[in-house]
Amino acid sequence: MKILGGGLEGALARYKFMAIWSGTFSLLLWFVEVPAHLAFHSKLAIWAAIAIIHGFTYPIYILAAFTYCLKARTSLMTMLFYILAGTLPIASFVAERKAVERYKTLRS
Amino acid sequence: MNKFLRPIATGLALLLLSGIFVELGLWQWHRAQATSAQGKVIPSSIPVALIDVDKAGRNIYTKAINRIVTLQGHYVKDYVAPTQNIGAGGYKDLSVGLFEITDNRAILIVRGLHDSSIAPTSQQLDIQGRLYPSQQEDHGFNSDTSLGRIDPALVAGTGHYSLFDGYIIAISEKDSTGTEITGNRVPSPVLVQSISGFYWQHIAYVVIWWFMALLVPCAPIIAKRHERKLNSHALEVE
Repeated sequence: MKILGGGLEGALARYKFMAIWSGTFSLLLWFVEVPAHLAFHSKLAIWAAIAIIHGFTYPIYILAAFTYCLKARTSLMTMLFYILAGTLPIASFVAERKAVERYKTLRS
Repeated sequence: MNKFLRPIATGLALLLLSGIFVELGLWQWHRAQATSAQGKVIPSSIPVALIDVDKAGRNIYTKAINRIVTLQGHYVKDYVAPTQNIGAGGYKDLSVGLFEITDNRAILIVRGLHDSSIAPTSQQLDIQGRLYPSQQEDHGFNSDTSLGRIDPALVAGTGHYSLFDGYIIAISEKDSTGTEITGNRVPSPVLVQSISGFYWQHIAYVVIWWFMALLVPCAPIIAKRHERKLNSHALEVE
């Protein structure tokens, strides 16, 4: 089971990176791409790029959240929260902070 | 009892959830195909009989939308559809008629601009026009002679007809002698369905949903194996 390889630190680092990545792209998607596309009917390639990058990297975020939750031995509901946090602009930043706090608690 | 039922119920719930994700992926897949096809599909310009592509008393067939259709019958009631957008011509009042064909079936037909160029008639006519889905938004008030939107639901109580969904914009009207009835017709452009989003964006969502569909049934198994591995490791340390 290579996917679960490495310790909690590695899983947390991967999750932190993906949470910030997904959060940033969610912000761009919700507050830049969607208004530009729907309200102003803009067809610029940059809007397509934001949506596509966010879409294709979200499964990586899910995988990172899943492995972190396994390593940190969270409950199923917490795991669900971490996974869904990637869809909302601010939630993934909140989840990232919570993950760090949980890590510190586990280590102390 | 619980010992046996619980894993079965959990398994079924996970499979159901997985199935929902598969369906959502399929929905996005179809949207991706529709996004790719939008603007490329040109409906056949060969006229067909209305009754060959659509049926009265049910929702309009998707494939019938935008088709040039022909039909024979006569007008039974006239309406005005106020402030309709006719493209470059701006907003105009339109003359709309309820047109009866055989077997007590009827459909709304936009005859043209609501002016003196098109006189009400009840004679037998041959009509050719393009078929559109019913309008959803009101453009004016509804009354016995006025249609706020061109929607057969508004004339459902008239004459107990079995109504076709949608409406036709007439391109030509000919009487029984083959003489064309002239008038100020309105444009009947091909309706282009607009789907928001980009092709690869929808494909990305397909990947997400199907990934979730795969993860949901696998997650408990992976979690259990991971837990077992940790426990055995703990025992070894002891």
